[in-house]
Amino acid sequence: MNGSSRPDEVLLRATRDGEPEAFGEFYERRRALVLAYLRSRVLDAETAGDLLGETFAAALLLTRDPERPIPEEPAAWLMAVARNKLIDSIRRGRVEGMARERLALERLEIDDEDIARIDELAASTDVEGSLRDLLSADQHAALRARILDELEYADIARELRCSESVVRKRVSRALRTLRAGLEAPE
Amino acid sequence: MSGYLDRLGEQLVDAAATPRPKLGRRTTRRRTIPTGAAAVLAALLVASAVALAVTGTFQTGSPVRPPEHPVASVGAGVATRGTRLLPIRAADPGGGMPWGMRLVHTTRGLVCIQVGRISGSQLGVLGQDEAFNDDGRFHPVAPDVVDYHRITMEISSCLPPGQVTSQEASIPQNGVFGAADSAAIPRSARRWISYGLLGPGAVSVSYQSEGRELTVPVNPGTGAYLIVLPASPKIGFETGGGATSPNGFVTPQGALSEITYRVHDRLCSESRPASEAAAAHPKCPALPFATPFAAPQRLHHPIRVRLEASGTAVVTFTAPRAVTSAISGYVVEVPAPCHKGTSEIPVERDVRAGQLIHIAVRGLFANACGPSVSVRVVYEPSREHIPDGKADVIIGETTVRR
Repeated sequence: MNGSSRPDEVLLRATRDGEPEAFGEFYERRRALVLAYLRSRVLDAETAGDLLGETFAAALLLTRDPERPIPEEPAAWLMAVARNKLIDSIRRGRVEGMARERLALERLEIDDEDIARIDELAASTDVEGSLRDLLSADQHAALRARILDELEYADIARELRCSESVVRKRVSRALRTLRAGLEAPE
Repeated sequence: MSGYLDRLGEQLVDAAATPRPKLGRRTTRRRTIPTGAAAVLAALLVASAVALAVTGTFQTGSPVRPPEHPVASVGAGVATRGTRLLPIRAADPGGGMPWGMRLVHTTRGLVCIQVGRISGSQLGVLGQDEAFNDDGRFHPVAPDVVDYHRITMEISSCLPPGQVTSQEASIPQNGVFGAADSAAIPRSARRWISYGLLGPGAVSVSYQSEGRELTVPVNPGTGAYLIVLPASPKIGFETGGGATSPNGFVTPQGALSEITYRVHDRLCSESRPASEAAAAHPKCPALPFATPFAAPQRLHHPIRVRLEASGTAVVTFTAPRAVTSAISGYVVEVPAPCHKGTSEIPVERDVRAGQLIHIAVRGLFANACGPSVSVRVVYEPSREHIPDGKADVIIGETTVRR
């Protein structure tokens, strides 16, 4: 399962075409990125792990849906799915298991060793760096502030020393660059 | 033994290897009451009919009745006299009868959303594409029909008062969610329904149609909205779902890109990530990241568990508090500490204080971490709510050995 250099998009397409191991490979490649994003936004590693499971389960459901296009930038798409799951969990006061239940996946045990592993993996992963590879510098800065740091546009404008409308445009362009699955409803 | 992250990967690969589920139904918590009624009623919520609709001549057929006799004190309960057809209408892409929405209040304190075609002052479905034997008639959904989706959750249409929701559903033209042969229904005969109940603070919703950004006001007071578009490019056919929130704001779902609210006389909006940059208003006030849970109260009342030969366990306890609505209730919990999870079997009915309750639990040892499991009965004073200071009450707890 390891060692393939196939791009994410190819892995997702292979998953849809009936190669389940391809999704395992996608998971192994991107789990740290998602985990790092989630871990920095929830109070404990267990919740981050739970959200990770729900995020990838949702991603799998979306990938297997033949009516959806395969995202052109799966990593960013996955982050959007994770963010939606995070927002839902905050609003509902708990991590829902809808995607996992649709796939008939039981929730898994998270013990102390897992918690340590999650924290370790999250701490050693550079979320921003991963996104930086996909975006121009100004787009990345604006997107990071808006999506990752969840700042208001006015605050970002002050930080980046530009107007609010410029920030909005940069975020917009960044999102367009990342496009695809950012519309995912999961 | 491998760790959580590796086992999750294995789970996902296994899931990827299994055939794709036909319907994308969503569930939140396992419920034990029969799902048949809810599943069939789900079929009646939304329907479309282009070919027939454009003719404009419909005879009225038999009314849609619940498949099972509803009980006022069980599940969602039965409709009270408060069923209300809202004045919102959405044109069907193919013309003909408009779509509408009505709210049904139930004896168990829920508010249910129903969406369907409108003929005069009635909401109903159309007999075509194998529905109602293709009789070509308009079938009004009887005003006492209550839809109850807390089990199947295609569209979580029954809510506790005060909650808000944004939903979507991709439905077949045959008018029945869950058609016998949905693959035979052509794309041109499918509809993408976005609807919701956003509460009194909502002002408008925005969505894209044919490349144009449209903003429409919501129904004042309820915040209800309804958008009907051709087959969705986003969600699979015969799937549905959405978001529900107890806090007044909800993330837009379906075709929606933005929801505008009025908060303290100022407009703010909730947007999808891709739409944030173009949002017309600042983001609505953020919610706190985590709300502390109040510690449960423990009553140490006796509970009994009888194991039957079939493997089913019957849990018996005396209810110390009455349950008079779906907002509160009892639940049997079977914690599985090694799995960091708890199986929950809710009691979905009204209960008298002092009543002896028997609950069947199948597969009591399914997630057991050893030769015994702990079984506890909990009273939830405020289901479906973010912790609001009302602590759960643990009625009693016992240990059962295989």
